[in-house]
Amino acid sequence: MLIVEWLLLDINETNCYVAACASTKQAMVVDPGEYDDRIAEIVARLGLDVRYVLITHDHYDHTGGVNEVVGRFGGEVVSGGRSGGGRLVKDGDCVQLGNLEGTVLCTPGHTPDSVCLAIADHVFVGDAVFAGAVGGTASRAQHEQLVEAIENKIFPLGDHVRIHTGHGPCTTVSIERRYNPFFHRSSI
Amino acid sequence: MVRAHDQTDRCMSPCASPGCYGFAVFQSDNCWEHTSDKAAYLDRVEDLVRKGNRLVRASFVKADLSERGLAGAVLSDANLAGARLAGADLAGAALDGCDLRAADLSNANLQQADLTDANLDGATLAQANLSGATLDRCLLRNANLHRAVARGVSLQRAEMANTCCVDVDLTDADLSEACLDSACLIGAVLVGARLDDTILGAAVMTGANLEGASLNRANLVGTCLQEASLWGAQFVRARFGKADLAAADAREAVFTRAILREANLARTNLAGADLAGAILERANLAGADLTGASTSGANMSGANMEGVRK
Repeated sequence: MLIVEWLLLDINETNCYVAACASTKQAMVVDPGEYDDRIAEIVARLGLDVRYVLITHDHYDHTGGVNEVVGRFGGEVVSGGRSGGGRLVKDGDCVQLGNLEGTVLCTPGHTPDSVCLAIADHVFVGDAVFAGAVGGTASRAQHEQLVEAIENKIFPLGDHVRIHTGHGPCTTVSIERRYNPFFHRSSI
Repeated sequence: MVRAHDQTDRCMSPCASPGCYGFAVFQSDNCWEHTSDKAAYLDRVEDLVRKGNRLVRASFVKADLSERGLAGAVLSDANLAGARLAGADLAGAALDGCDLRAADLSNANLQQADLTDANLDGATLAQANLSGATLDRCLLRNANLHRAVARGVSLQRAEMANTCCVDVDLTDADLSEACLDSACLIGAVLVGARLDDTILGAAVMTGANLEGASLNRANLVGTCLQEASLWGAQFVRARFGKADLAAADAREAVFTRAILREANLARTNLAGADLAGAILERANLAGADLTGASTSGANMSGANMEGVRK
């Protein structure tokens, strides 16, 4: 089972997550746009062992706190192409978190390096998709690329999967597949 | 004796009845079906509860505890899967961590009970009294809470996808960060309830009463709120993509920076509402009442404004 703790950062109201394998307490911090003491509180309260810092995409409001988080808790930085090093992952790569196996899903469009991580019944998507919307893009072509990536990689994960977004409320595949206005086949 | 472990690592003994693959119930060598003199057994259980004995991790799988007096019972982490507890008095009981999957708790008294982290998937709580109870982080998927009374209940981070909450009284309830994906809340009363950061996407809330409720940053994508009462409710930064608020009463509701893209607001009463900074792209506002509403900075590009009153 995956434990997910959420905190709303001040910087652009970015959602930062601390996710952990319930059995082993191995954890990852997702998109620390800035360091926040609540991350330390969560790690201490749940007795977590931070193994990764996952960066869904290289925007400052998702990466600003990475160095401090790594400095305080350790952990390997995992991203789809962030400047500053760390482990670069590509589509289909595995990220092992304790007894749970996460799968990397490349979803370019909002940024070329955008990645999502599907693990247990959850997917961390950064700014790829939001409740009722999709991430902003610089061109029509990038928008189509993003929509296609979501339809082909996120939606097939299953209706029950919880989507942890980079901004705004969480959602589910079921809700977005049926009602997100940005999808061509958006229907019940 | 071979001891089996269920999904939650509760240690359960096999039923002693030959050929039976069930698990023995508390203080019995047999499963409920094969327990002899069930009435005496239940009297013994009630007596233990009355005397303050703790029944932590006890097994009552499929047991019939209907109408029994178990007020204040300590049943933490007990296995009550499939148990019949219709009409039982469980006021103030400790049921935290319990397995209550598919249990029948209809008409049960669960006032002030603690069901934190309990698994109530598929359970029936129709007309149960849950007022003041705590169900934080519980699983209530596909459960039936038809006409339950749950005033002041705490359901923080509860999982309630596809749950039936028709005509439920959730006045002053706390459902913050809960997930009610595709739940049915027709006619539910949520006056003063807290639903901040709650997932209500695809929920059906026709005719629900959300007066004074707080749904800041809530996910209401695809939600049906037709004819709902939203008077004075707070929806700051909430997301309503393709939601249906037709004929809803949203007077003085606060939609500051909410996203209502392609939402249906036909004939919605938005008099005095705060829509500052809201996104209403391609929304349907035909016949809506915007008298005295604040629309400063709102994006209404492509919106249907036919017959709008201002």
